[in-house]
Amino acid sequence: MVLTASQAWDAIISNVRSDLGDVDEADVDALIAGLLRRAAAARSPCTRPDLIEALTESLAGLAPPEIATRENLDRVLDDLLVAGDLIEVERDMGRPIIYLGPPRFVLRRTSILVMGGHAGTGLPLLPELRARLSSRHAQRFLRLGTSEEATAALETLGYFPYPMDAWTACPDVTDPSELLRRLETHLAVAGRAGDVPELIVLDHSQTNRHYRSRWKPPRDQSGRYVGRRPQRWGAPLWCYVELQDGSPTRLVDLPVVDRTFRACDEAWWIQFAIDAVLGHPQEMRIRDAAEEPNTISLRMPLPTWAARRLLLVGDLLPRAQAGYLFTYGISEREMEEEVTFLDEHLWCRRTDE
Amino acid sequence: MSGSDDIREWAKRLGIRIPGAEALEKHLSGRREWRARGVGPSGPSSSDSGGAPRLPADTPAGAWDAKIAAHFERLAGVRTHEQSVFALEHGLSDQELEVVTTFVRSEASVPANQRHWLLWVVHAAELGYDFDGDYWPRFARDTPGWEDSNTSRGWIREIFRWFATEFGGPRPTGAWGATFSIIAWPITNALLPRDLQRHLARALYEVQSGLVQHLSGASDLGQYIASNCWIRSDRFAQLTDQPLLLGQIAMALLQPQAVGQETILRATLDRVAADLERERQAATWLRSARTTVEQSHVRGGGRPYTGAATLTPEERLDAAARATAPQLILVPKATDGWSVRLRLPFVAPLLEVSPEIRAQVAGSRASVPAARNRWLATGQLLYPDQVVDLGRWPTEWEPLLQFDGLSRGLESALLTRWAMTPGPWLFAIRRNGTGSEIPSRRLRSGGSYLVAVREEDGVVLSNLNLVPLKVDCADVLVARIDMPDQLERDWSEALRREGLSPVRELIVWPAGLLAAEWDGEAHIRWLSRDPPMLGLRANHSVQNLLISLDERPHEDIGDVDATHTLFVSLQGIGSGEHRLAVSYDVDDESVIGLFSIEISEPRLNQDESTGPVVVWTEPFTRNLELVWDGQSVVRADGVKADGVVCTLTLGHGLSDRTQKVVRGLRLPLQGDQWRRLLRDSIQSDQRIQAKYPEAKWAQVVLDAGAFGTYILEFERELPPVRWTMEEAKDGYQLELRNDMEGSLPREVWYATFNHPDAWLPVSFDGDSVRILAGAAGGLYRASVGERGSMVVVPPLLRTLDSFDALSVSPALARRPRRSDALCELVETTRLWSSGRLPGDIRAKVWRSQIVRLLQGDLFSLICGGEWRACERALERERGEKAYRALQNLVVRTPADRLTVAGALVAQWREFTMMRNEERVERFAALARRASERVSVRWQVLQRRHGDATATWLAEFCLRAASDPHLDTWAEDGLLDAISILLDWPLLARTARCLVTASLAGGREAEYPPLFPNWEWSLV
Repeated sequence: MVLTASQAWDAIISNVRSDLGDVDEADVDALIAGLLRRAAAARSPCTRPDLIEALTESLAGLAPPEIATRENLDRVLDDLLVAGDLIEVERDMGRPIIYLGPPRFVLRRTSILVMGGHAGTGLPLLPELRARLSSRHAQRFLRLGTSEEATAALETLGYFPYPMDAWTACPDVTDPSELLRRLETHLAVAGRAGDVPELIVLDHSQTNRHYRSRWKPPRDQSGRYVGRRPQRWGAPLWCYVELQDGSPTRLVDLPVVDRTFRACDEAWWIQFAIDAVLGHPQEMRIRDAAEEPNTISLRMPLPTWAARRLLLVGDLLPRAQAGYLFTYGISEREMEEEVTFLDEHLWCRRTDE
Repeated sequence: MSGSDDIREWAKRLGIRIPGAEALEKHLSGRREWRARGVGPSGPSSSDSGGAPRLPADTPAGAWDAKIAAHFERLAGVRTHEQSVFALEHGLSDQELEVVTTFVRSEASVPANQRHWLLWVVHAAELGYDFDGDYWPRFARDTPGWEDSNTSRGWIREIFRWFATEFGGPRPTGAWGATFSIIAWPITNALLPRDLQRHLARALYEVQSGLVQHLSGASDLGQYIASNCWIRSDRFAQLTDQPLLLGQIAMALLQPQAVGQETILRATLDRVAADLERERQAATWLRSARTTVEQSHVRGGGRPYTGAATLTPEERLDAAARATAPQLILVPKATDGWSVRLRLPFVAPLLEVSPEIRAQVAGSRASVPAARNRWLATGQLLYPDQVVDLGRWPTEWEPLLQFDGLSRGLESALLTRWAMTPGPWLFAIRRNGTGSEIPSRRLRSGGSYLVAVREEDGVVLSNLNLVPLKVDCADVLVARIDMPDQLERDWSEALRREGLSPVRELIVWPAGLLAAEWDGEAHIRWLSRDPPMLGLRANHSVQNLLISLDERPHEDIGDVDATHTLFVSLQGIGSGEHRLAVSYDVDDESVIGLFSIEISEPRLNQDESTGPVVVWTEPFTRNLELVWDGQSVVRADGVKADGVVCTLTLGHGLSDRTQKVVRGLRLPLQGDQWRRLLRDSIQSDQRIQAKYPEAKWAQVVLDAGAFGTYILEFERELPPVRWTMEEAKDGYQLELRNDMEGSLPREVWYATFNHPDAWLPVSFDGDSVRILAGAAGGLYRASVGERGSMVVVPPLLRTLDSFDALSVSPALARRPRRSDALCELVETTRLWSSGRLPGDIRAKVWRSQIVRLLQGDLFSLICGGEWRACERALERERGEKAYRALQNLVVRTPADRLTVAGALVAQWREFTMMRNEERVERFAALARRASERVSVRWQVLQRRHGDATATWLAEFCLRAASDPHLDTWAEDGLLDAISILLDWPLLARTARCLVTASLAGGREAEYPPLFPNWEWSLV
């Protein structure tokens, strides 16, 4: 059958949505997540750039231009890593590899977060589970009937509980200046950086409010920065770099503090520390709503370990509060504990509406 | 004599009153009909030449017999030749079955010719349904008065043959049917015995994505399941050997509502389904498979699938080999020029073909012949996205990658896809600057390419006016081609003359959901769940655009304007390979582009393959005893991970299980690490030791946290002759189970741990062997027909009060330095090493000591007492100094160092790291000298092995020094080869010296293996 671009796109959307269960039609991230899961099921293991490049080419001329951009795919792929649907395996040599995550689930208070499994294998869920499936952003949930019943059904289908110690693993509480001092020791033994073409850094000289606009090529700054530098193969590397009048003098590639976490996780953790030490810590804005769930809004991406913790007790809302990068809905009884966690681990400053 | 005369005569001889002539004729015509349909006996045989006697129906038992016969006749009447009538389909209620059983019991002690055989068929099939490994003991228990003898067993088979002839009952086929030639009949007639239900449910679950395309015939369905499921049980493997039977059962389970009595009796099907439902996981698997079938019907909307094909295992292997084929790539160097690399295959798809292939490929060592560093590390191919530098351009048909130790069939299947193709070779320059090979050699307008030719074919480049670029690789020339947007005819023809194919005007690509494979030019693979879709864009106006699929028009699109993009859905094409042609006219020229399209099933949902870790057993086995024994090890690789949790579960039934959890493992998991884990953390647990003897199955679960959970399953092997052992108050009670037809136990022997080579006879009565083992324990062996069975019995010590209880002081008998005596010693070594182990850890430890002692004695006798003393010193000290002393017995003088033996022992460090194939190859240089030193014996061997004599003898020497299964491998060459070692001991000394090098600096390890890094394939 010959199709126009829009007919073809409709056919693709309809097919992908069959994996998603109940989903808001306006939830573009959920759709992109579905496309990425299918792509990973077909192509993984592969490198992240290879996956994104191949999917972009495959959707060329089909997807509305604002949807399947490389930037969107890259962003949602990060969310899929947080949600456990995809896993990224670092290697001693060579580029990190993306794998389709094994079938797992995490028990939440009102639902189960599911990952891998039917989205990868294409096997249908049992009707009673399918009826409970829903998607928001990059996450898929099963609404609980009784948790015993649902988890037993999942386990018989080969889904294993995600080990909670692994899901909630996070760095020990530390002082931000202590974290930066540890980085200093690594930087001290790094060789001269030399010329680093196309280096960009997370600027902290002006404002810490707009994450995306903080990324800039160095101009005349001096100090230590979180940066990214391109490499010939694969996505740009995350690094911690010392600048002198805008020129890199020393540089270490991340992660260096704790290799159990991804490079970007460590980079964001460091940036939270830098902002805190400079006296303008990241803000966590708390909204105490009467009818809606209470919310926490942030302006910086969270390291995976923090994002996974919030996913246990809250939901990433479809739209972030204006001026923020994302907003989580969290029940009132969980709020204080989460605020304390973000304060202790990421040194965020609380502001209340 | 006619058939009816036959039966009358036969019945008369036995004194059986036969049914009326009409009934007899009916039976015979039925029989003839079955024969005509091809399901009856294929020809006259002694067993089938007689018919089924029928006793009169005027007794209660006779009435039941007649009732059941009438029922089976009705079933037979509605079945086709593909549909057997199973004895389990008797249609009796529980109460009725109880009545039948009572009649059978009442006939247990009467002569066979006075029994109502059909009632016995039902009874025997019912016991087959409950089969859990031991058929006859259960049969005897449930049929008091029945004498368990070869004659009685033979009669049971006879009545099933009658059943097959009269009613079209199934006949066992395959190797299992041949080996278990009697119990195969009632078990096959039990449709789906309980122990297979879980396996079948899981198989249906795993292959469910392709089921819907194979529902049109039982045979096809069975073949599809058998070819695609992941077989974890030898018993289930036996069912997959019978695809028709498998398909019939699967069809009925998948579509119970759509299947009528003509396939499986509804009541029987409900019974199997109800039993399946008793186990939650099996029930869920079955429901999931049914859901897939139902939803596929809904999604398909009645549209027929086209081109659906059941891939044979060989075809699946070929597809996996193609998908994983290594690829040549050209990479721009930082300074100037290009380097040539080979993108290594990531072999995971290959590992999903079967557990056997998984074990072979994952555990073998690979090499890249054309690489600068040829050898890859073991397990390296379990990591994706790796490249190696090539120092030279591979020659035509040279393997791009080779494995050591693959079976010949597997190796040749891979080489078909993994060999260097003939040139010229075309590479497209991708966005990242690398050149990736285009096998179709098609060049698109506006594209940038590199063309490679052999150095001696440089004329190809000059014909195209191309200038060679600098390449960091020998034997190849590379030049760049930048295709213009408008292709001139002369240039186009020049390219064609040199074997390249310029393509104009129309660009085709896989669009929509990402295809699983796309070579950028001509091959596309989609997963069956993703809607296949093509994108087409014309650079210039084209006319009469037609898309054909499998040589039939698919879309007649007509004229397409320049720069117009359109999409074509290919939804509905079935799994398998298809040929797609895109043809059009442009500038009065007809153009056709060919594509190969493949629709493949998504990855199987296997417990072993849920994430990036690859787990396997090495060498491959499903046999619990080989894993317990350490002869096969569990391995895991693919990622590096800490904190992995291993759980071993031993089980008897569904609920009876014992677990041992070991935390803090690290991946990759090597074989020696597994053996330590097994010995120190699992087998040392007394609960596990106690449970092991009765365990029917085991499960090893590796939980690698974020990287997934992986499960391997093992089951107790049930050879036709086997010992069972039960701990009783006054000792271990041994019983020999024998499922061999017509063979009686010939002899039973035992040897104690203290005198392991002093065999003493055990007396037994009649057909059965049931004995109380001596308190000292030891090895018990029995032979029945051509088969034997050994079991290691632990000593009768209740507690381990001291270390003495963990030690044994075996002493060997003195034996002459004669080849026949040494052959006996070799046999004794093998018997001890093959003995089935109980759970008691002492049996394993002592067995290990004894095997080492026997092996040591062999070399003591061949090489002398001084040699033995030096070996003992090395075993104690494990240092280089002690090893040097042993070496000095091979190389005694400086002149000896210049000999072949001297050169070999000088390489001792290298030898410890080599693969066995390489060791044999090197040692053959010395073995060849035997032709001069012991020419007569050599000639005897040469008659058997021809040109391979030196290699065979080299392997014999190295195995003799390190493999306790030597005689199994050497077969009838043992005596002559041992004689050569006795006549020329330098061979034995050198081999043993190289093998014992692994002890220098090594830790003490438990057998198996006898020596670290000296593991031989199980033979």
